[in-house]
Amino acid sequence: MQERFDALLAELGLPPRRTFALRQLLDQISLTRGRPIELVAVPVNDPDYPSGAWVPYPNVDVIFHKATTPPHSTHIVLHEAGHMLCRHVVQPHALPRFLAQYSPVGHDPQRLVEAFGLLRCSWSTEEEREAEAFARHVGPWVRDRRPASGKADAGAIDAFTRILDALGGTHG
Amino acid sequence: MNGLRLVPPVLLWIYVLVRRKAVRESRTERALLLTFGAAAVGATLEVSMVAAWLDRLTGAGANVAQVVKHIAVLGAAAGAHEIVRSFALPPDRAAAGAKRRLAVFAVGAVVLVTLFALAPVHDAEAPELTVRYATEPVMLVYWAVFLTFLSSAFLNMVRLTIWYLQHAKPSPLRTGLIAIGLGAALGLAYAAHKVLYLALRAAGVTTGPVVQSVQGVGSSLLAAGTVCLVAGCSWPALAEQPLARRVAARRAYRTLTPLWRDLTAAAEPDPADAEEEGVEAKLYGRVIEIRDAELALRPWVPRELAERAQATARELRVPARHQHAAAEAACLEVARRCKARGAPAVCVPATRVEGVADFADDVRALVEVARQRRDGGHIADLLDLAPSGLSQRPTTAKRRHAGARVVTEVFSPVYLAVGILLVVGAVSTRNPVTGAGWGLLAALFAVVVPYGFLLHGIRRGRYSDRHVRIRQQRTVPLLIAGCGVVTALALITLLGAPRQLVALVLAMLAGQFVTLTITLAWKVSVHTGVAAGVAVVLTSVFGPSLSLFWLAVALVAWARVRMHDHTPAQVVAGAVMGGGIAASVFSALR
Repeated sequence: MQERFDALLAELGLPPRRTFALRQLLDQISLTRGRPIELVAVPVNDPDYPSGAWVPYPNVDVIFHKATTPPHSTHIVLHEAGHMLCRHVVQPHALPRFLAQYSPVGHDPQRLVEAFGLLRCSWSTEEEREAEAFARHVGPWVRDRRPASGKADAGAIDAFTRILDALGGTHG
Repeated sequence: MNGLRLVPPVLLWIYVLVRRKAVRESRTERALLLTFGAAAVGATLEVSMVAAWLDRLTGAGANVAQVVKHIAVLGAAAGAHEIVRSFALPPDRAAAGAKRRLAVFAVGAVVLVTLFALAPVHDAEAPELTVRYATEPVMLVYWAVFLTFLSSAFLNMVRLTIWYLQHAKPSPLRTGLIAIGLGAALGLAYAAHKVLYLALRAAGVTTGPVVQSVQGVGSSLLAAGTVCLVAGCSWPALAEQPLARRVAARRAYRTLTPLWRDLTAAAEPDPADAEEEGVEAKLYGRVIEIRDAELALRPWVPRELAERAQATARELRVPARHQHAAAEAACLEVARRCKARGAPAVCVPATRVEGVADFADDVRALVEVARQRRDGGHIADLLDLAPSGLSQRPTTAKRRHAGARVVTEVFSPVYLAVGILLVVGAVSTRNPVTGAGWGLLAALFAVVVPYGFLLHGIRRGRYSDRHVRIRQQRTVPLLIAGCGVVTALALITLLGAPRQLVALVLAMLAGQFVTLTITLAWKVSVHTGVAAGVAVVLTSVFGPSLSLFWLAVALVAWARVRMHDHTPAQVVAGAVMGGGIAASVFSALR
């Protein structure tokens, strides 16, 4: 499995077993997917919520992660990036509570549930295990280990700012 | 001997040659090179052949090598001082006044050379500048100048180091500074020893231990100090080497194990079998899993609990830089227990985790939490017992601890120490009353007076309780107790107490020294240490029947673990330490 991860990284132009910046990896993934990736830190403690989630909206990929220490947040983001990189097929998971809270204003939560999402809450399924293994494999090689929001189109940022304002949190 | 002396200069010169290009890199690198270069010169001149060659070469008489060596020592001290500044202070403050300090160093060197030139020329090859010419006025001035420069640099270094240690979290830099500070303290001891020697010589004393040992003591102190300085200066760079990183990762991994085990057992089930290779990857996995578990436990940590934990840590006088970790450890433990007993979750907005920027910080923070959890576990008990609605079992918990508390009090080290001093005193002389009197005298200074200081400190709020449950508070009471034992030892030896009692007090002193050393890093159990020591002493005085006392040792060990004041490892280590010291020191000397 580890050789496969190294090959996946090499495809993105990231030499394996060398340090790299988290944003470098995310930028490369978004290039291959042809759409931006947004990181959003969610200030919740509810144990029913997963520590991270990848929600592929129609023209942007959003990675939600709980607010925790920078290395831990980075790891959560890497896990979700692992899903994208391994081209996991998004399962229509039961995540109504999560999305009801975090869907952008003006979006119907139910539609977003149908838009699917992947969660990092348990390592029960094979795909979750694979994504977690990816995060553990590359985690020690991330240089900054501090997720930071990069450039994205103004609309997406605006939408997320509104969600976060509603939640009283900040950008991750 | 001469062969061994070649090793340090060769190593130092290799370092200087390898790193010579680093001069352009930074101020710290320049200071490092100055320190190592000066130390290399000094160490080279310790080789008597080189020193004699230099003396002949310059033709200015014997002892030229001594002056060069002294200037090299000053240079090493000045360089090390700059390194301490760059470690401990922000860059702009560290650089401030560097030119002035350089000028002072240059003036000092010039003054030393001038004074040496003014001194009468001695053609005979003198063994030491100090020994033959110590009483010549010019040489006294020479020594005064040299020692003043040296001790002011060392004093500044010790001061800066202590200041930094009080503020900084554990890191390779901090470890390096501890070694440098130790080196500077040894340098101060060297200066003090020289001053004492010169004062005695000036007063006309030519015999006695201080005068006769001057060469050996002086050069050993200087050598040990230089080793500490060099080790401390290079430690932060060495700690970045792969091997050192692996060792550090393994240590952190082990320290985190108990925390990880408890938290992950309470939180979500274990993730997939870790297939990472290498201890650094394992450490990464462990940190992530602990943080995952912490996230899962957060709903059981309402803000009120976090505030109460902080307040309790403050009340118990946990040192300021450990308070945060102690409170976090206590919160996690209470949350774990609440979750385990099915208490309802309290959902609160998340709080940001402060002070963690990168992975190394995260490891440090968690290691600190794990240590505080080990050393100050009772904070969680206090929080869990306090009326808060979270816990419904304060009374049963209290009753359960009652037995352990009684054992802790009855077999407290103070009673045991006084008792054993009286008993051993009584059987050491023909008249038991006289012997007990000796024991009482020893107990008065070795136990009662230091204990009085402790009680006074508790009243002033300096210590948490009579058993000083917080490890970081234990150092000063242990030092005071050590002073008491030394006083008692001096008194009973001078007054001619029975040999067996002197042996016992010596064993107490050894025990205190070992305990103090361990306590700087780990909370070894004093209760079981003293109890085991008493068991060994009783057995060797009264015969094997008294080995029944080991049952009491076991009881004490149980009580200390039950009260959550110590871990099983800490009580076992205490018993081994106490028993071992009593068996070796007391049995050998009685």
